Amino acid sequence: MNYHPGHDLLEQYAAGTLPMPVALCVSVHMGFCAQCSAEVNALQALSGMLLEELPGVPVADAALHHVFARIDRVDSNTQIADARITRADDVLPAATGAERSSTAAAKVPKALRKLVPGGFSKLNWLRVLPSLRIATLDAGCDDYSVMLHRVSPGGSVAMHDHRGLEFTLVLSGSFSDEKGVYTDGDFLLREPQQPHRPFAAQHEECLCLAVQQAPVRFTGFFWRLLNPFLR
Amino acid sequence: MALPRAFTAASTRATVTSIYDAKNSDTDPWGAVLHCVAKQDRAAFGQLFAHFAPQIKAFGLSTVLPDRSGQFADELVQETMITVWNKASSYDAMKAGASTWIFTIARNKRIDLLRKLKRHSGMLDIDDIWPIEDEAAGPFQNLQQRLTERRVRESLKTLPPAQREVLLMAFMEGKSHSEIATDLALPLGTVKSRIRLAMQRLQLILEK
Repeated sequence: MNYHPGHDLLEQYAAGTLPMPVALCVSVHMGFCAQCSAEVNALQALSGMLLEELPGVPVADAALHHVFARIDRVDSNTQIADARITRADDVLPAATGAERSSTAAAKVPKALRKLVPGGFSKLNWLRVLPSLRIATLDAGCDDYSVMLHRVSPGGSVAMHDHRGLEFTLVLSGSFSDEKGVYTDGDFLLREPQQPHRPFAAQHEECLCLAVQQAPVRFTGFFWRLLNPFLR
Repeated sequence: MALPRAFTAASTRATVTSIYDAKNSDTDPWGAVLHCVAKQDRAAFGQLFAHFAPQIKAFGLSTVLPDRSGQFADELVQETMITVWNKASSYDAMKAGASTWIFTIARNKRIDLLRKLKRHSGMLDIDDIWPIEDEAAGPFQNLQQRLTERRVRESLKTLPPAQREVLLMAFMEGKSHSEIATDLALPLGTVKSRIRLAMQRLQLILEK
């Protein structure tokens, strides 16, 4: 793994100001990268110290009592809720042993588990190009699309460009483009006006998390016709 | 998994001599208080509340919002402190200082409340994306983190006011670099270099 989010992105992540889909990519990357995790932990420690130094603003006298009242109200319901959570966790992971592709085997990172509850192979994959399948995830965000891209071994995606930022996080396998080779955990940020043509490695399928600020735009005439599928 | 190189190189020597100190003389009284809160000690929670609630309120008030009535900040205090009570038993003093832990909870609650204001829902879970604690960190990373916390606490005392100001705006007010530039009537480049300088001074920038 050689490609990391920049310092600015880690700073915004720690401050909690990154749009959620972008924070999702950073979070998944941190699961692969002890170095970026350490940097974020340090920034959070700094934030904690800045918080402690803020000139405090008095809270109402009743505020503590309100908190205790809410704690007491919740307490009586907690045991039932706890039991439910345990049961749900038991059912969740059910690994599918039948499929052999790297996508099926790839572990779903914690940050993605709500969007990919049954594992990657259970998603609704749409074949948009001979070598590219896409599953759109419902992140509940209008400004960004959150998708998973699955490129067949040796497959390529036509030269394309983006109208907005594109964040790519390699979950398994590897791919390359004009600028480098990317393996699991690598975090890539493409700005508009950087057309690129990704190729998956020959020997295995490549699974990526792709977060785009605006729909992809293919640069050739023919591919422009296909654009509606790449929403 | 490669270890964080810059941290390792910079502090291997320090690690040997201060491993004892880091374990024994961490001056974090709030960690001990949180430990009592974990055992449902309401008096301890009252102490913690008296100390942190005004700060969390200030953190909430600094959030850029059209409505400045303080309702948002009060709700943030409530939500944060309830979560502190509920999660106190999972607080691990080996992983992070009490203020770090409380900040991450307050930050997540702020994200959550802002999202509700904008009526965004969606399936994504805030605590999944911004975990309250680093579950993956092992003993080595935990030690590094505690040493980092101590170093940052020390060097924060000598940080030039102009650098502290931009850090406060970025991390407490949640402003982007360009928003900070507008507020301070400074060129964007100046803001960026101030933040960079502050990070270097606190030794928070890692070589990649």
